[in-house]
Parts: sequence; structure tokens; C-alpha cells
Amino acid sequence: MAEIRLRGLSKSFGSNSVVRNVDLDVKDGEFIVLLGSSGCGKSTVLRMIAGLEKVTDGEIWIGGELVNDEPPSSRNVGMVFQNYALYPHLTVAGNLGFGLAARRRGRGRRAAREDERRQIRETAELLEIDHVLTHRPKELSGGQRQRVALGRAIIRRPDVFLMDEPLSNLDANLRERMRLELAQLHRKLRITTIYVTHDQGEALTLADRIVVLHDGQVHQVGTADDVYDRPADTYVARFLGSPGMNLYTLPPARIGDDLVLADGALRLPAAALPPGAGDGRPLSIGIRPEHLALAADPPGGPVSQGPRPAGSGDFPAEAAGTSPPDGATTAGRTVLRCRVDILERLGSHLLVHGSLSTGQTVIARLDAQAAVRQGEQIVLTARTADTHFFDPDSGDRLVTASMPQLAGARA
Amino acid sequence: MSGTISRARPLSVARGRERSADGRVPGRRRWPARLRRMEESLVAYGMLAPAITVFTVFFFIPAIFLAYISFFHWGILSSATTFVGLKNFRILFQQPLFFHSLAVTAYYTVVMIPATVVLALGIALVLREAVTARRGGIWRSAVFLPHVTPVVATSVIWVWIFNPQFGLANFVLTSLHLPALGWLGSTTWALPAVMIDSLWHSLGLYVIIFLAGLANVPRELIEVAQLDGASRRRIFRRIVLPLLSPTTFFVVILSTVSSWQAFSQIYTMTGGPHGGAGGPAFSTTTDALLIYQTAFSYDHFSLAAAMSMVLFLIILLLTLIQKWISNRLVFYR
Ligand SMILES: Nc1ncnc2c1ncn2[C@@H]1O[C@H](COP(=O)(O)OP(=O)(O)OP(=O)(O)O)[C@@H](O)[C@H]1O
Ligand SMILES: [Mg+2]
Repeated sequence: MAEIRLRGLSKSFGSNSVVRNVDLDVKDGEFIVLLGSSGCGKSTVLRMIAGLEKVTDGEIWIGGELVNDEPPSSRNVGMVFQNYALYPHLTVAGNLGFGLAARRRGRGRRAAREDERRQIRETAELLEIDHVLTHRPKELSGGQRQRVALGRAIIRRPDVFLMDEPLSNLDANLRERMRLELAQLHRKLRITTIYVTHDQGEALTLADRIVVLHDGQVHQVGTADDVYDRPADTYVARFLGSPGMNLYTLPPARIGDDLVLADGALRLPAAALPPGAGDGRPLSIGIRPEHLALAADPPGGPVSQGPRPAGSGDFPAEAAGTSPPDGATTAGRTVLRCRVDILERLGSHLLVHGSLSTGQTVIARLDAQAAVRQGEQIVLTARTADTHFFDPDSGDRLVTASMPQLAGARA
Repeated sequence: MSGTISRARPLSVARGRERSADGRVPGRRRWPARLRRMEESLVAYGMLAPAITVFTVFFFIPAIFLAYISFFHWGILSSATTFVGLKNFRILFQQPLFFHSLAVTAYYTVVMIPATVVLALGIALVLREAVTARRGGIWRSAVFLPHVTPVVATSVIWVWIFNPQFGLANFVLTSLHLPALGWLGSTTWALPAVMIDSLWHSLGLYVIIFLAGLANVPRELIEVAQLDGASRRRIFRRIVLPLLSPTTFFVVILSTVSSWQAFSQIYTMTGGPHGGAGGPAFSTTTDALLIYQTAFSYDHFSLAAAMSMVLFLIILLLTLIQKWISNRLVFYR
């Protein structure tokens, strides 16, 4: 077991800079997920840690040792590839034992072999593949192949465990099951793990900490709550969540105590603003679709033009403070006025795609029973605590009094 | 070539069955299933016709005819054709030269196969490892080039290279303080000289085949093995070689057949049209050469045909043995 330290890690292929100046500290036994869209350099980072790719610039430390110039074999790193990369001509037992036999040196051969057989058996039992030990990879199911690949990486108890999208070749059900098993396996073995994925669901469930990578650069390092509740910048805000955060950059105008943007399409109490923000300067505002709710008492008269089902406006306004149910009040909240363009019914909930008077789109995730119709005007509100502010130029998060940014959440 | 033909037939049959099963190919409904199947077969055979014709005229008919005349007394100019039963074979097996030629051919083959595999694989590995992608094309072309030169023309050059007084071969040997050799004038070194020429000529093809095979070994497997702590040697022996075994088997079969049939380079290098081919003292008289001389120099066509039959049986037997061995050694993904 070991901690990993990356310092200014960079990689270029020719003039193409793929990984830029990545700093990261992974604690001993930690499960880190590298999350980013396709082509952002996740695999390259992993391959550099494994020693399969030369470092262009920067340092890699594993267990307190600078390993930049160490070959892969002496880094004691186990890796699972996206396509499993099982040796097709060896049996499952042969696949599991290959690394053991390769490292067998000196010692009594018979004793060593006996020892290897025991390790193979134990690992196979751990992963529940002991009944297919004599099979070749092509005789296995996808899930079994996945387990063999895992087993081959963990059998010699590496200091570091690297996984490059290990679940992406499995069907949805199996993926969820394997996700849980991976989490359990990690709890059992506590091997320092770096896990690459572009699936935020995997990242949020598995990770001790998530590293959001974009264009070869680290945008944020933090727990699932950090990156979700306190995105460090607009990229992270938009990338996480499905769908991602609604973001508006608008020139503000103050009316009384409220900050009003774009002729009242968006309005919020000025008190909620981060200090110094919105004083004549444009401001980026973000609200997650799931934090939006239908307003019960639309300010300035009835909102809806179309007929609405009886009783739909009578939802009791529940305590503000938790995520609001439909029918929340607008007082002291962020308010959005929009026209409903498309409704997407997704069983447990309803996705509303709307547009502001400025033409910008808004997506709200409402209760499946929400009384909304296509074409009508609606008013959506969110808690100011769920309203995020970003610098319109740099995209960086602006810290508000009500929601302080965690120290060190940003790399 | 026979592979293509035998494979094509089940294919067209299978497709015919598929269509008639769903029975709803638009615009074809008027056709009864049987007629439709016949039409499809006709199209298939029509497309195969040129290949079948060439194969029949130049391979199949001559082969049958060869088998036929091996049981007759037959001359290319004489009109008299008499059935002699196994007499040609009996004469053949009383000829020490025939067995000598078999031994020469076996010697040639036994050296050529491993030399071909080792050198071609070695060159392929070097080309893959040491040559950058941009220059790779030039090197591959350079290695492949000898294979497209005419054997007879380049063999003449090799005769000069092996010239005992002025040749490059002896110049290299003496520069290395090794004794000069008689080469084509020596009963010991004439066949090795031919082997060197043959290797030079044929390696390019096998290198390309091995390069293709190596390209099919997934890079991740080698990377995983590196992470597993395996040495380069172990990776080569335990991962690359097994995954390459179908390619190696293919190369072995190809070089076996071409060795047993080696003719042009031997004929040209050891005297050719000036007479004396196969010398000195029959040391380079391979099976193919003996067949040629028996037929065209001594006008014993029936005897040559009988020899060809024996050669055919030997190659068939060797291929069967290799196939049997390969079932245990070759790993097909
Ligand atoms: N060997 C290479 N030579 C040149 N460019 C490369 C090489 N390997 C990767 N790249 C480039 O580096 C960039 C990042 O690649 P990488 O494989 O790290 O992305 P990734 O984040 O793993 O993407 P994915 O999620 O699709 O696997 C890509 O633009 C890719 O084209
Ligand atoms: Mg990748």
C-alpha cells in the first residue's frame, strides 16, 4: 500500500498537449476517481502512473519514491484495462498466476508453486470465479472476464490499483452490480486505487474523492458532495448532474432589494449575492434542475395563461430549507419565468425544457405529477442557498456568505 | 485456391435456404423457391467460373494426366502409349539417384524451414521495434523487394557473388579471417549457397507475413505482462509466440511446400541451360530438379510423372503431419 503524489504532471504527444500540470495527492488506501469527458486525458494520466507512457514533465511519487524512470514492472502497480486484456491462450488460472510466476525468483520451486496455487485459489474464491479456473477467456461471460481482470491485478497485492473504465463493456444491470462489488472489494483490501471513468454515477458512488479533469487540467478535487454541491467552476457545474446545471450570464440591474436580470426573466434577492458581485458587472448564475420548483404564488398576478387543472395551485408551501416541493413561495427565493417547450416524462419525475424571454433554455426536474403543460408560462423558484454564482470571465465559483467554499476543495 | 472453391459452395447454399425460409423477398415473389435457389447457385458459379477454369486447365487436368501417364509408357513425341502398371514406380525405387535426390531435398527443407522462421521473425521484430513509423515503409519495401525480382535473373548475380576468386562471399569470409570456400564448385557448399540465395529471395514475403501477425498481438497484452513483472524474454516466449503461432504455422507450411518444390534457383545457379545443373556430383540434385531432367533431358516422361506422384504424396503426408502437430501447438483465437 502506498500514497501517490503527482506534481506538475504533463504529457504532450508532439505538439498536442494532452495532460497539463496535474497536481494530486492520493492518500494511502484512498479510492480516487478521475472523472472527465472522452479524450480529456484520463487514460494518459493512468498510463503515466503505471509507467506505460513516458512523462513529458513533472513528477510521480509512489510510496515516497520518485518513480518517473522506473519501468512498469518495478512500480508494483496493478491495472485493469477497459477491454480486460486477458491472455487469450491461458486459462483463468494461468491468467491469474502469470504475474506470480513472472516474479518467482530463488526460493524452492515446489514450495513457490504450491504457494501460487493457494493464492490463485483464494483470489478466485474472493471474486467467485473458482468454478471457471480451467476455462479460457473466450468461454467466459463479460462479468466473469471482468472479475478475472480484477483478480489478475489484485492477486499480487499491488501498492496501487489502477482501473481504466473497467465497467464500460458491461450491460447496465451488471455494471451496477459490479460497481457495488468493487466498492466492497476496496473496503476489504484497502488498496490505494485510481479509477478512471466518464460515468458520473460510478464516480459519485465509488469515490472517496473525485478529480474532475477537463482538457488535461484538473478542475476540482473533492468529495462527491463537494463537486456536486460546490462546483469549483462552470465546467464542473455543467458536467456533473444529469442534466447539468442551468447557467446564465446576464448583465444585472437592481430593482429595490432584488437583483433582476433580463427584464425579470430571472430575479433574486440582492442579499444572497456574493460580496462585491453584481455591481454593474455581469454575473454567472447557476441552478440545478432538481433544485427548481413550481411557484405557488407567482409574483405579479397569475402566471399561467392556459387552463390548469383544479386545485393545482393549492399545494401547501412546505418549510423552506429543504429542497422545495412544487408550489413553493417566491419570497426570498430565486425566481425564473419561462415558457414550457418540451416535457419529458421519465416515470419518477418530469423534465421540463423551457426558455426564458431572453431565449436561453432552462431545464427543471419536477415531480412526476407536476401540473405543467407545453406552451404555457410558468414560474420556477429555487432556494438562494441552491443558487450558485460564478465569475463570468474565469468561470470560477464566487463564495457567498450562505454557502462558503470548502477550503482546499479546489486543487 | 481449392479453399476458395470449396468454401464458396456451402455459402451460396446457406443463403438460398435463408431466403426461402422467410419467403418474403420483395419483387421476387413470383419465383418458386427452387428456381430462386438455382438462380443464386448459377450466379455464384458464374462468378467462380474464371477461377475454376484456370484451376482446371492449368492444375487439375495436368495433375490427373500426370497420374495417368505414371502408369504408362509415354513419350512426348512417340505416339505409342502402352499400359505398364507399376513398372515406372519399380524402376524408380531401384534408382539410387532418386533416393539421393529425396535426401538432398529433405536436407534443403530441414535447413530452410527453421532458417526462414527465425530470420523472418527476427527481421520482423527488428523492423517493428527499431524503425520509426515514418521510415517504416522504406525498410519494409527494402526487405520485400528481393521477393519481386525474377529468380533466374538474380540467381545469376548470386553466381558471381559465390565466385571463388572474385566473389563477394569469399571476400567477406577472408576479411573476417575465415577460410575461403569453393561454394558452387564444392559438393559440401553448393547447396548452402543455393539456400542463401533462396532465403534472400523469399524472406521478404515471410517478414511481411510476420509483421502482419505481430500487428495482431494486442498492445495491452504486452503492457499487462510488463505490469505483471515479466521480462522481455518471458513476454516474447509466453505471450507473443503463442499468439503468433497461427502465423508461424502458416509460414512453416508455405516454406515447406516451396522448399520441396525448389527448382529455378538451383537450376540457374548450378549450371542451368549449359548442362550440369544439380552438380557438382549431384550434390544439389533435388527432387524437382531430377524430375525436370528425367522428363526434358532424358525424355522419360512417365518416370518423371511417377516421381511427381511420389513427391506429391510426400508433401501431402508432411502437410498432414504438420496439421496434426499444429492442433496441439497452434492457438487460434
Ligand atoms: N499514443 C498517442 N499518440 C498521440 N496522441 C495520443 C496518444 N494517446 C492518447 N493521445 C491523445 O491524447 C488525448 C487524451 O487521450 P486519453 O486516452 O488519455 O483520453 P481519455 O480521457 O482516456 O478518453 P476516453 O474516455 O475516450 O478513454 C486524446 O486526444 C488522444 O488523441
Ligand atoms: Mg481512456
